[in-house]
Amino acid sequence: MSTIQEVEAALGRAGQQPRFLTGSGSGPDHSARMEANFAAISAEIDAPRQGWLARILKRLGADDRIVPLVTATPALRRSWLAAVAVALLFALNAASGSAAEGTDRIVIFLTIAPLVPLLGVALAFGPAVDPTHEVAVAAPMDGFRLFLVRAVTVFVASTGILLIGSLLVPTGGAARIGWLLPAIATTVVAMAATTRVDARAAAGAVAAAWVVLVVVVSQITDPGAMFGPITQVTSVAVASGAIGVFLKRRRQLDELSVRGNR
Amino acid sequence: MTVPTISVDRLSHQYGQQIALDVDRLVTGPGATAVLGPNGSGKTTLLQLLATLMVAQSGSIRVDGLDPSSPLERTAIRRRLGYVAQHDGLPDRMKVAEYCDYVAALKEIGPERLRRRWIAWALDRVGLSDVATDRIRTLSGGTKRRLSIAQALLGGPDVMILDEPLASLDAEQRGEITRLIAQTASEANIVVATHHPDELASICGQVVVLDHGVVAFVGSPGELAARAEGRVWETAVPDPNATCRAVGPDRFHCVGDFVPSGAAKATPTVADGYLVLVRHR
Repeated sequence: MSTIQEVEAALGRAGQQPRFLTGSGSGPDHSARMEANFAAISAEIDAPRQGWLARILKRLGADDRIVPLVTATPALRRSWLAAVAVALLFALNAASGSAAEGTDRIVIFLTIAPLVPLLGVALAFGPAVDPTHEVAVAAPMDGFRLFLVRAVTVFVASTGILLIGSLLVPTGGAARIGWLLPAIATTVVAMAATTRVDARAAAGAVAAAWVVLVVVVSQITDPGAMFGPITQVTSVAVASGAIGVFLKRRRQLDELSVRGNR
Repeated sequence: MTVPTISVDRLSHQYGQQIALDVDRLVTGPGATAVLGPNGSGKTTLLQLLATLMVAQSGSIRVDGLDPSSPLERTAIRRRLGYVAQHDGLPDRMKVAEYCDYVAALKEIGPERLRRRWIAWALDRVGLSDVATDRIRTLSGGTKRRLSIAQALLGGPDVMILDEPLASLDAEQRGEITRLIAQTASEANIVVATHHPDELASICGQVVVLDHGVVAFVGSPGELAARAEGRVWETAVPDPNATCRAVGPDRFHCVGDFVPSGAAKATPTVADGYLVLVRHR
């Protein structure tokens, strides 16, 4: 990789001819023009109106090579909006009912909530949702790292909003956040499956399996039990196993990309 | 710095039952190689294979000795690669500089100060410094194409794969990009697919013509133009049995099987040679 000194030289600051720059762009006023361009572009990248997320990430100590990948995550806006909509919808719905109705609505909320980050992650990667997919595949950053950055970005954004929405639900106590561990488990299972099949297919299958599981368990026992301690412990176990599979098969993300399977 | 070569050996790729590419042997670089061919001739498949977007189903590719089918070597190739896709694939909501910063991060260029330097340089090279703060959705098709070329220049790659970089550009812009490619060719191995043989292929050291996935011609632009020797003429009235284009008021440049008696022979161009080659296969 080039060093700053090499680029400084390439850009003419060191009094050398810039690399590739032998024609119209290398006149006597070239260095001055480049300085002006550099200042304008720096100002743009630093622009407060556009860079709030980048600034927060930098303050949190994020690697400056990761920050542009996070702020450019294509599904970020969609997943964020979906999370806000779902969280507020169910929170307001639960708040408006009687105590008995509220319990049923909380179960619905707890069932739907894990699907929000799951589907958000599915929309964060792949040629169908990312216009820059080809450029990203041809770049040296490996597919695993890029996928991980985007998945974590979307997951944190959507679960953050859902947590706030959960606090708006007036009943249910601590059970209001019973969706969190299932959300982690379903999302990580889908990520592990993405090393074998398309991200959207993986998320769709996991989401369907989760809903079927909740419905079946609800027929057998108290629906609220579905989000009790057994489910929480099981979610941790499933998530741990899925993380292991995901890490073991991480190279497959890149291999599947170059073999045209996504 | 040594400019890398790309070598292709018995390369074959197919989609389903349809053979998209079947190249026995091809070497490109140093300098620029133009890839010509009708739509569906395998140009994009070849370029995507060279750009490591796909792995060849059979045969081999070596970029400066590196094998793209090996994950580690593929990453090493990508560190030296600039790629312009056939379709721009730009995120409309992002601003120009913001998008370049994103691609620079994908190219593992850092720290931030270094990325900005490269962005300023790349946008200057394609004449887009004045739109650095504009949203991509507000750009014209030609400006978007130049932005795609700018992102490929980030990091100063010594292998550049350009899939129809002149598409959507007007004549003046095509001239600017052609000059840029000609300048860059002295320090990089450039493989460029194009439908503008006279503008772009003529500045390349080598021309490859693909037809139905196989190499129909490899040689210099002059050698390709020579294929049309004795088949090109200029006339005041277009010949219905030839391929003619207007080159002035009541003047048509025609390519056919033979020069009609009494017609004024013309010097063949690269495009004429390409037409003769494709028409007679």
